[in-house]
Amino acid sequence: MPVCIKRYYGSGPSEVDISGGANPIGLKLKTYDGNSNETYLFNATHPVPKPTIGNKHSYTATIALYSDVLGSEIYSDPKIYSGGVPAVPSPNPNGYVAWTGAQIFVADDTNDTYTQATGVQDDSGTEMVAQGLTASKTDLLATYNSSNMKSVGLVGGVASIGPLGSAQRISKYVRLQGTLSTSCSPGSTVPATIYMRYSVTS
Amino acid sequence: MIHDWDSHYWMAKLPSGKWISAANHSSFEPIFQTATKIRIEPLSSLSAQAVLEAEVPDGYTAFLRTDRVEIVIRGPDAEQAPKLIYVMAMERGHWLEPGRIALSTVPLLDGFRAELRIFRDGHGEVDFISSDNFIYKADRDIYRFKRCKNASMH
Repeated sequence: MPVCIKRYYGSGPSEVDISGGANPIGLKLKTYDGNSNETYLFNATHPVPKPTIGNKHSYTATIALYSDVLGSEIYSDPKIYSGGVPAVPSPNPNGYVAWTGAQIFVADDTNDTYTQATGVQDDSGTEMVAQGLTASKTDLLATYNSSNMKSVGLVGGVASIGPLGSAQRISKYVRLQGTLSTSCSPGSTVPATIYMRYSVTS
Repeated sequence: MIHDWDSHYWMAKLPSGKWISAANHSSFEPIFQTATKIRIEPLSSLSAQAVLEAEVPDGYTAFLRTDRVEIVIRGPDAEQAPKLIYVMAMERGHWLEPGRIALSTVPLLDGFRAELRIFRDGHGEVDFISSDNFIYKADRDIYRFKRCKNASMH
């Protein structure tokens, strides 16, 4: 494993490599529409129901860059961005729906303190600002792209880190949360892409 | 250091005329800062056949970075995104440890930034921005970046 993206969860926290977007307990959008009248985001086991009033949220996901490359690389400039709000494809054999009423927010604040997400299972996670995880948040898909990336910061707030003596988290914690409003469409949203980019001096 | 995921590597020409490379040096070593010419070259015939080359004028600092793009969640457009970006940068001035500088904190005032973007299907694209006094010339697959007073931006 070189540098990877880890998701941190639970009280420990536990951690899992979600690089590549393939891990089902990572930030994978749910592609299941159980009863044709709800939109699900993030969590395939405990989906977020469509709200009848206001918003409902996924549990906040906490991710960071992690490296076990020892003795050779210097890291800098970690960033997160997206491929934008994806359009509904044509043809649309999977029956995807538009992102109307559905958003992925990124916390404006990043830090080195892990806090377990809270919420009510099968209903709504605690909204990230309300939980005190960040002072404010930004719509990731609508705002950050390859021309406008969000700087994440390195662990400890240093300008660069490395060469490493032992495997460790190298970026600050980044927090993401899916949010649904009453205007969301039934079905599964078009798969979106989120990237992390970082520099290596080697 | 050359990684198993690299498609390109850097070379640097020292004042003595000797070339060093990523095969046995790191660009954060002080010796790299004595280079008078730097190149980013394909590792093999399977790599995108693009070469970046720049002279390092007196009073300028050269920066090399390899940016890696990791996917957090994957949509269809992920296949069209670059996975590696070889960055060659030059800026007038002196930095104590340029290999440890976050390049995003170095304003583009008198220099250039060139990116060789390697996509998931293996093809490459070159992008270049500069202050007014650097230009590039492309000769087949070789992109040469050069100081040129009063040149226009490309």
